[in-house]
Amino acid sequence: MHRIYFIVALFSMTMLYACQQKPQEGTRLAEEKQSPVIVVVNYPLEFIVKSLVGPDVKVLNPVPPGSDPETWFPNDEIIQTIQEADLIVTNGANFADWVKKLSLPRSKVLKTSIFLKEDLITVPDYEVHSHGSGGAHSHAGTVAFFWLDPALLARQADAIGKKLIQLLPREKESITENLKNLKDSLEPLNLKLDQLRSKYPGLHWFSQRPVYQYLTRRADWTVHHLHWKKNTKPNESTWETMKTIQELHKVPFMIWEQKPDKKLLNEFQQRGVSSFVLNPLTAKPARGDYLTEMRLQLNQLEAFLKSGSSTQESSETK
Amino acid sequence: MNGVFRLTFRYLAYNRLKTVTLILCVSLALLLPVLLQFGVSQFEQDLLSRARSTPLIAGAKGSRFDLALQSMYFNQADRESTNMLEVEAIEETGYALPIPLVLRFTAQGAPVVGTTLDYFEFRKLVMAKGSNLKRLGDCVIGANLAENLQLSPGDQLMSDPLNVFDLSGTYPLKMRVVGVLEKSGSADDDAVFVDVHTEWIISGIGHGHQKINAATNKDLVLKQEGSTTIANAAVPQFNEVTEENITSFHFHGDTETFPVSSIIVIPFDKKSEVLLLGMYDSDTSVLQLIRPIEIVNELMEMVFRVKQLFDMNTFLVSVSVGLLLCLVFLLSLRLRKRERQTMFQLGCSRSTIWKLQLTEILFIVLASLIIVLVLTLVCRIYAYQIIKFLFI
Repeated sequence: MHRIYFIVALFSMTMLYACQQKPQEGTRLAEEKQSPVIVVVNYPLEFIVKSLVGPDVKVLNPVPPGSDPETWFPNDEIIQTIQEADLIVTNGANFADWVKKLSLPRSKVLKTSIFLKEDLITVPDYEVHSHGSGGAHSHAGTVAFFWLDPALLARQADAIGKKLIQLLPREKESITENLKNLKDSLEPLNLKLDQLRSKYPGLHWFSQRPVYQYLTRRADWTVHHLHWKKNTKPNESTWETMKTIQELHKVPFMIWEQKPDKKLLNEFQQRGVSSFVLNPLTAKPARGDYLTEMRLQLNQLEAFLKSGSSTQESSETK
Repeated sequence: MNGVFRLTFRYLAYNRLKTVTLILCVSLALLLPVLLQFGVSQFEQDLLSRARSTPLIAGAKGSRFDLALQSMYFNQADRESTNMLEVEAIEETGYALPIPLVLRFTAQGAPVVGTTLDYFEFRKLVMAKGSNLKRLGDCVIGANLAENLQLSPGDQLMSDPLNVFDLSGTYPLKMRVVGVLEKSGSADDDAVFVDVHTEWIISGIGHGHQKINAATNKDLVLKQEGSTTIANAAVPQFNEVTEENITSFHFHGDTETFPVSSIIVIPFDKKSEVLLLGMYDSDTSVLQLIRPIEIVNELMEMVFRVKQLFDMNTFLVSVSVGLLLCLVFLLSLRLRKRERQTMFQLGCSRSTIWKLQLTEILFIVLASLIIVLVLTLVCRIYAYQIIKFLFI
C-alpha cells in the first residue's frame, strides 16, 4: 500500500517539475527577445548607436580589434549572429566588403547614406581597372567617410534615431534626449571646422585614396587623391601624378590615414609636401571616443597649419 | 438479393468486352466535365492564392501578364529589366518593403531566383534541411528540385550557361547548396534561390580572379600603364565562391545600376498601398506597379470564357453518350429477350428480371464512378505539376 502512495507521489512530483520547465524556458527566451541586438559596420556608427540607446540594447560591431572594417569578412557563426540581429546599421557607399557579400534581410538593414543623398561626394576616378585589351578605365564611386564631417554624422544619427524609435517605441523619450545631447556635443567640432575654414581658406591637400573629401569640403579645401592603394608603396606613376597635380595647384600638404615610414616622409618633404596624419576613425581609437579623438585631431591640424610645414601626427597614431 | 448480384456479376464477367466498353464510355463521359471543373478550380485556387499573398509587383513597363506570372512563377519571359535604384526609391518612400527578384538564369533547367532573405519570410518558407543563404555563391533549393536532382546541403549545383556556343559569354557558377526548403505546393518548390549579388556574379557583373603580379605573372599581363596592370583574357576567373577566394570577388560599377527583373512590393498599410499605386500611375514613371490579384482575375475571366465553350461541348457530348448508352441497353434488352423468357419460365418473377437488368447498369455506373474518382485523386496529387505543364 505504501509503495502505491510512493509511486503516486513520485509521479505527481515528476509531472509538476515537467510543467514548470516550459514557463522557465519561455521566460528565458522572452528575456533574450527583450534585449535587441543592433549590428553596426564601423566605429562611428557604433558610437552613434551607443550614444542613443541604453545598456539594455546590445550594440555589436563584429569587426575584431586590429582588423580593417573595410575588408574584414565574418565566419559562418558571426554571419548567423548578423542575420539574426534586430537591426543592421550600414554606412552605405560600399563601405565594408561583407555588406555586399553576405545575404542580409533588407527589412532589417538601415543604410544611412540614403539620408545624406544630396550631400554625397562622388569621385569620377574612384576606381581604375581594366579587363582584356580594352585598356584601363575608371568607375565613379561615392566616398564613404561621411563621419569626418560632424554635420553629416549628426544626420546619420538622426536617421538611426528615427529607426531606433520604430524598433524600441518605449525608449522614444530617452532616444530623443540622447540624440539632442549627441548633436550638442558635436557643436564644438563644427565650430572648430568653421574656424579652420575662415583662417585657412582654399587649401589643397594630397591623399592616398578618396577618404577626406567630406572633411575638406567642410573646411572649403580641395583634396587630390593619388590612386594609391592602401598598404602599398608609391611607384613612379604615383610620383608622376603627384608632380602633375602639384604643377597645377601647388599642393603643400599630404594627409595620411596612418603614420608613413620615415623614408617616405622625407621623400614627400623633399618634394615640398608636408605630412599630417588624421585617423579616419573607422575603428575604435585606443583612447577616448569619436568626440575626444576628433577634437584632438582637429586641434593638432590647427597647430600643424599654424606651424606651416613641420610634420605632425595625431596622438593616436604616435 | 445475393442471387441477383451473383447472376449480374457472372453475366458482366462473361461479357467482358461489352462490360469494359460500357464502363469506359460512361467513365469518359463523366471524366471530361469532372476533370475540367476540377482543373479550372484548382488553377483558379492556385493562381488566386499566390496572387492574394503578393500585394504589389513593380517592374519595367510592358506586358502586365508577363510581369505578374514571371514574378509569381519565375517563368522565363523576355522582358525589360529595371535596376536597384528603383528598389531603393521604393524603400525611400517609407511606404513599403521592396523585395528584388532577378530572374535570368537557370540551373539544371530550374529557375535561379536572385532575391534577399526577406523573400523567405514573406512567403513563409521554412527550411527542411540545412540553413538559409549566408554569403555569395550560396543557394537554397526547393523541395521538388532537391528530390529530382538528389541534392542536399553540402552538395554543389552548377548554373546553366545562357548560350553554349558563346565562348565569350558568362561563366557558369558552381553554387554551394546550403539548404533545402520544405514543400510548399508552389513554384518555390522547383526553384533555386540565391542572393541578388550571386545572380549578378552569374551574369558577369561581378567576378573573382587571382591577383596579378606584373613581375611574376608575365604570361597573364597584356601591358602595364603606370600603376595599372592590364591583364589578358588568360586570367582565370573563379567559377566557385570559397572561403579562400570570396575576398577577391568584386563588382564593377554602382550597385544602383545593376539589373532587377521585378520587385515584390509589400506596403506597410492600406494607405501606403494607395499612395504607391498613385505614385507610379503616370506616363512619366519608368515603372509599372500592378496588383497581381487584378491580373489573375483578368486571366481567370478569359479562362472562364473558354470554359463556357468547353461546358457546352461537354453537355452535348454527355447527351450523345447518354443516348448511346440507352441505345446499347435497349439493344441489349432486345437481344436478351429469349434469356428473359427462359428465366420467366424457370419461375423467376418479372421484378427480379428487372432487378437483374438495373443491377447490371448500377454495376457499370459504379465501376465508372470509381475510375473517375481514382483519376481525379491522382490529378489532385499532381495538380500543381499538371497545371504548370499545361498553363505556365
